[in-house]
Amino acid sequence: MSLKDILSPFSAWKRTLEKPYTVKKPIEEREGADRYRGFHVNDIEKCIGCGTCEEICQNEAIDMVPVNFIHAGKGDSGLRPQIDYGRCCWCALCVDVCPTGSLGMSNDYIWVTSDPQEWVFKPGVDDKIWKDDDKGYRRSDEAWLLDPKLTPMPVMEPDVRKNTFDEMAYGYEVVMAVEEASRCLECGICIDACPTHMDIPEYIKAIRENRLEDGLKILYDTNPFSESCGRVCTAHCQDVCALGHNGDPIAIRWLKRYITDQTAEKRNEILRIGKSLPQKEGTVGIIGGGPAGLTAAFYLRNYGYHVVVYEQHDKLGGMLRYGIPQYRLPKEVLDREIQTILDTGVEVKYNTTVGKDISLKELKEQYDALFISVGAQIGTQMPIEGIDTPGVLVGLEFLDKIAEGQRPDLGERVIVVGGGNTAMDVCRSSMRLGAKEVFVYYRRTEAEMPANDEEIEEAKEEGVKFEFLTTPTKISKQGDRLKIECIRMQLGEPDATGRRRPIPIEGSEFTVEADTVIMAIGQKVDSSMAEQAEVKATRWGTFAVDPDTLQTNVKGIFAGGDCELGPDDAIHAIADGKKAAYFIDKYISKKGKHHAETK
Amino acid sequence: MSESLNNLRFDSIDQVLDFAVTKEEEARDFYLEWAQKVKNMGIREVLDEFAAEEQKHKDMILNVKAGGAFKTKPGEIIDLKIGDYFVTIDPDEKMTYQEALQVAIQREMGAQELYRYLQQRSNEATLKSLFEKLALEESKHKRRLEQLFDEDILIEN
Repeated sequence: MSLKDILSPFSAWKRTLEKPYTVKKPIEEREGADRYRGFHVNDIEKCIGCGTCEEICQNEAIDMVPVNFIHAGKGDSGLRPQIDYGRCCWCALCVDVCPTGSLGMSNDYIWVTSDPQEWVFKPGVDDKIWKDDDKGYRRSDEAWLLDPKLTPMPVMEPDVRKNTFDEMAYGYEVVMAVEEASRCLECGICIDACPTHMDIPEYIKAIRENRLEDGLKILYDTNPFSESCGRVCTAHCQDVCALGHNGDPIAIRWLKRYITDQTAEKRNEILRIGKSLPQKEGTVGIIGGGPAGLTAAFYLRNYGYHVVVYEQHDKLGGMLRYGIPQYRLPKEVLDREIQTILDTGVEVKYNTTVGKDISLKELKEQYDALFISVGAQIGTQMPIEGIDTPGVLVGLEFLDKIAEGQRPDLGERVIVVGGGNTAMDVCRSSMRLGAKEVFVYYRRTEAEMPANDEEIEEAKEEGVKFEFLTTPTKISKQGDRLKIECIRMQLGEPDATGRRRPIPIEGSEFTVEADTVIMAIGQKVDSSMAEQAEVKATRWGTFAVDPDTLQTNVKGIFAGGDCELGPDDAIHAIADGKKAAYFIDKYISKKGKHHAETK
Repeated sequence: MSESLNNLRFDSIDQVLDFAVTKEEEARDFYLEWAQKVKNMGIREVLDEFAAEEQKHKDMILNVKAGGAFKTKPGEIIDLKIGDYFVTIDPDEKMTYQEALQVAIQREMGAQELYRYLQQRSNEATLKSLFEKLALEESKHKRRLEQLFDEDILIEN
C-alpha cells in the first residue's frame, strides 16, 4: 500500500468545510453541427400522415395519432407522427424515407424536463423551442430511400399512332409491373381518393407477390370495369399518391391493367361468375347500359336479384363505348368485360329507349326498383349563327359514329372547339381520320383546360395545334369550305368570385377557313322521361337524388352516374352504380319485410 | 327602333322611372308566366329566380324614385359579351337551362339597348344621365346572367 493510499481517506475530510457547488447544466452548451441529427421537426402542412415513418422505424418509436385541428381529407389521413424519445435512436431513417420531405431533425439536442411523459411528443404540433429551426438534418435527394421514377408504359410512337385507331399503350410486362408495384408504400391514402374506394395497396401487393388471381378478386370487390379503368381511368388515386409529392406517383392505372390483362382468359373462372349466386325475391330495372348501370347490374345480381337492363343502342357500354375512342379503350376489351357482367345472368333489352318505346311509369309498375343511368349523351351547342351549317358536327355524335366503325372524311383542316376530354378524343380521332391540320380552339387559357394533362400532351405529340383564348362567333359556308369568324379573348380582372373571366378583345376579330368544325363544349342529360313518373329533375337536366342513397323523390326510383352527377368520369359512374346497388338492396329488403309484416 | 318607341316622350325624371318600373314588372310577369308553362320543375325554379331578380330591380328603381341613389358606378361592370354573339331564340315550354339563360340574356340586352337609344334621343341632360344609369343597371343584370352561362354552360369552353 502506498503513502497516498494511506493518507487519502484523511484528505477527504477537507471537503467538510467547503460550500456545496452545484452545476445546473452539467455540460457547456454548444450548438450542434449544421447537419446534426437532433430533435425532430415536422412541417405539418406538408405532412400527409402517410405513416411511412412509423413503418420504417426499427424501434417502433413512432405512432400516427389524430390531431384535433387537422382533419382527414383528400390526400391527407389527418394523422401526424408522435415520437417516443425513450425508444428513438436518432438514426433518421424516418427522415430519409419521408415522401413529402416534411419530417426532419433540428440540430437541438438538450432537453431537460422532470416529466418523462413529455418525451413522447408530436413534432410540428407540440410547441418546442426547436420547432422552427432551419438547421439540422433534412432528407436529401441522394439519401431518399424511395424511388421517385415510375416505370414508363411502352406506347406507340406519336408519328405511328396518329394514323391508326389501334391501342396506343402496350401494357406492362411482368418485370415492369413488379418493379412499379415495388415502389408502393402501402400508405392507403389513395383509397379514400378513389370514388369507389378500391383497395389499391392490396392489389398492388398481390402483383408484387405474384398472386394475380387474388388481385383480380380485390379489383372486382369494388369495380367490375377494372379492365377499362386500367386504360382510361382519370386516376384520382394517382393525384394523391404519397410518392407524387416529390416524384412520380405510382402508375396505379397501369398496374390495374396488368392484373386484368394477365387474368383475362380465366376471369370468369377465377371470379366464379354465375356460380352459387344467392336468390332473392325482387326485380330491378336498369335504364342505361353504361358504366353506372352495368356496375349496378353486376352487384345486384350478386345480391341475388333479377336484373333487366334497358339500352337504347344495339350494344352496351355507354360512354365507354360511344365516347372513348378505340386507341384508348379497344372495343374487344370492353366487350369481354361486359360479357363477364352479362354472364352473371343480367338480362338486356337492346334498342329500347325508355321514355319513348316504353314509359318510365310502366317500368315503375313492373319492377320493385329502378335505377336510371342514362348518362349525359347530348352535346351542348354554342348558340351562334351558323351552328347548323353542314360540316359543323357535334363532338359526341361524331365519336358515336367512330365507335360504330364509321370513318368519315373530315377534309384537310379541322377545328375542334372546346377543352375537355371529349375535345381531346375528337381532335385525336380527327388526326387518325387523315386530317392534315387539326386545331383546338379554347376560349380560356391552357391552365384552365379541364382535359387530363396526359390527353393534352399526347394530342400535342400527335400534332394537334392549340389556340387558347380564342372562340368562334359565327360560322357560314364559303364554297366547299366553312368560314369561321373568331375573336381573341383576354382574361379580365378577378371578379367578386376571384375568377378571371375571358373577355373579347375589341378589334381582334379574324376569320379562318376549315373543312370541318366539331363542337365539343360540353354535355347534357336528356331527362325528359322524368315527368312520366313525376321524378324531379334539376335545372341542369340531371335527376335530383338524395346524395346519401341516390334515391329520387319517387320511392323505388334511383339515379346515378352522369345523369345525376352531371358529366363526369367513368369511375364516379361506377362508384354510383355500386352505391345504388347497395341502397336498392336495402330498399327492396325493407319493402319485403314491410309486406310480410302487414300480411 | 319601332314606331311605338319613337312615340315615347319623357318630360320628367318620375316619368322615366315609372317607365323603367313598368319594364321591370313586364319582365317579372314574363318569367312568372313561363314558370307556369314549363314542365321541368328545375327550370320552373330558375324562372322563379329570374322573376324575383326583376322584382328586386323594380324595388331598386322605386327606391331611386323615393330619393335613393343608383349603386352601380360607371366602369364597374365588365361586359363578358357572351350574349352579343347569340342567335335569337323564343321561350318554349320545354326550354333547357341553357335556353332559359339565353332568353334572359336577350331580354337584358334588349333593355340595355332601349335605354341607350332613349339616352341618345333625349335632349335633356338630366334625363340623358338617368337613361345612362338605367342602361348601366341593365348591363349589371346582363353580366350576372352571362356569368351563370359562363360557369354552368360553358364548362368545357
